[in-house]
Amino acid sequence: MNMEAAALNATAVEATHWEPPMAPMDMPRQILERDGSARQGASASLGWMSRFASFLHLA
Amino acid sequence: MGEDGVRMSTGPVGSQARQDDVRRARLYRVIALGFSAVAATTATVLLLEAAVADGNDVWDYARASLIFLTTAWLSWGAAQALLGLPGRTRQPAVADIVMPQPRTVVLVPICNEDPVATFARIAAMDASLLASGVATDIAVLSDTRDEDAAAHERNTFVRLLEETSGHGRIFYRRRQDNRGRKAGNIEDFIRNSGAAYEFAVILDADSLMEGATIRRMIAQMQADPSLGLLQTLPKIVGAGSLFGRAMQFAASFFSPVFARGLARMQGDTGPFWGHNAIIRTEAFAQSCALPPLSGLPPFGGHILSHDYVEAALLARGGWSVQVDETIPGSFEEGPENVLSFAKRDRRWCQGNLQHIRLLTAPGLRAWSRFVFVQGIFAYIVSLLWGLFLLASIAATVMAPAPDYFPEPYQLFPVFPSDRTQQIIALGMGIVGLLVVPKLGILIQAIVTRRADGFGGGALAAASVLVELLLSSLMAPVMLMYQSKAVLQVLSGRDGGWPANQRGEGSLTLGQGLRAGLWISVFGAVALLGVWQIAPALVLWLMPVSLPMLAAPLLITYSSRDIFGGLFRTPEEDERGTVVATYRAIHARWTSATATTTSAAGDADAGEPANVAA
Repeated sequence: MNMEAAALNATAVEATHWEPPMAPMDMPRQILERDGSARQGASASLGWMSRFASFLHLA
Repeated sequence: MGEDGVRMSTGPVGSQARQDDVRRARLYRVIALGFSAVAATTATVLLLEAAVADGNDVWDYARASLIFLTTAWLSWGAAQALLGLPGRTRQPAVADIVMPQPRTVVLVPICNEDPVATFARIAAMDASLLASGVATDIAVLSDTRDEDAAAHERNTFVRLLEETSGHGRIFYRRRQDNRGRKAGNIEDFIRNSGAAYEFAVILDADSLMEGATIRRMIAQMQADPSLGLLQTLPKIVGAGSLFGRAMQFAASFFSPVFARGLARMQGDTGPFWGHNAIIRTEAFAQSCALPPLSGLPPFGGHILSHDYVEAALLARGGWSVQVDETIPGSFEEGPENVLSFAKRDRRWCQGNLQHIRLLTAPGLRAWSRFVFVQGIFAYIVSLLWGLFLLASIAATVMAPAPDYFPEPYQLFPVFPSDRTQQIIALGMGIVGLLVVPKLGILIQAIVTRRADGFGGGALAAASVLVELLLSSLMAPVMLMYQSKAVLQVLSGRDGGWPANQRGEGSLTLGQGLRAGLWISVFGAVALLGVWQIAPALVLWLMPVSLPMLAAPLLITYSSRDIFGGLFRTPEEDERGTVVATYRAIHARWTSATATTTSAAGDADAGEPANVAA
């Protein structure tokens, strides 16, 4: 089968049987940031740095 | 849930062998850190001694601090290579897969890639897997947004299925939204299909792996139930330009030694480079669902350099993460010119700097935090070198004029002592940190006859020398690109996630000028400024300023196919490999496409289409 013939078939063939098998797995969302003041402190520092460096307007 | 509200997996209990590895890794870390501290302190002392002739001022202390940091970084890289020089004394026999074969899937996440090349690679790997007696599924995970490109993917996938008889074992799914980019794409698969598989091999669109390699990786995962992720060292293949071939040579000749040093230091807290690795699905599911970071990009939003974070989270969950540089048959393609490299580097820079936010993430192993610091420093260091040059110029300009008669009624003048010796020692030390590891690797390769695969000792030596020269010439250009990237990120500019540009090669002089003229102008202005205010420094700045002035030429001509005889690698002999199979399939598919296009053209002209079966 060549690409042109594949193109003719693709729309008809595309269906759920192309998809991987359904076998759900639990994937708990991880915690990477401390809540509260520590996070705010880090964000504030980076925000301050961004504002400080924003005058550069680098292309 | 563990302390601090951190979700902790019920990770495996460490074996005695694993605990021994951890103890050895700690020793290697102490050696490497000690070496870096001694080298950095020596450089700092030499600099301060050289500067003391005219009295140390604030600029001298500034550049002393900067030389400490930059030399520590160079020494750290050198220590990694030196630790990797001795070969592995314990080479455990690799067991074969324990039957029945564990359910394994090969994941190929793609986003706006050339589907013909990508699916031809999959066809080649599928043939290699079948030949190796490994039964795996393959899942193409598309994040392509463009509808025409997606249609092209579907058409090519039909061909892949037909050619491989892959119905029911080769899958394709396209997400409706590409939340979380590549990490989100993998996560989506594991959430929906992860329970069907014990292991998953994660690839990039340009990855190629031998079936026998995947078989070995599955066996290694089976042999160590505490192993959550096993990373291979992919070799670059298919490079054509001087820049690409130099990278290909470095990846094949130097990288195994650097990777061995890294493996020794990292122990079970090893790296994940995002592809050409195998994961234990259960471990990954337990540990690696990444949340978006609060705030906006570049520091907030989705985590760009997700692989480092996933490795850290697996280690946090009690899983072992290891790199094994001895696993053969793992390949990828590399950038062919400075522009492609810089574009990719811009994304990595933003991703690594984003890790500043994760340095205090709860529950991480101390070494994982240190790895984040290394990744951040890899980009910040360019800026530090630039600041060191500025501080050195300022220190020279601000230095007081020498006082030849410090005492009243002094009969003879007192000349300041000559400190050139310290400066030369400092310069030689820094060059040594860059050159000695590579020369050490060359000598080891000649002694162990590993150099035979690189065209023999003489050709390998010539390749190493030219690589050293080329990387020295390119260093100031890269320094400028990296400094620009760091400043862009620090100023809040989000570079997004541009599509990889694979296979682009030779650049015209016009393209080189557009890409590098700003570096030339910067170098010329800096050189003129120094010539005006401190002419004595002009000579010292030549190794940096001349490559900057020549940046457009370097960018252009390094993208061309020159010095073809050099940089030979064992991987260039592709006979009988999955790479050769891929090239044959790709050539057949592209020629069929060309034939079809031509036939379609004829059909448009009123001729019947000649569609070959």
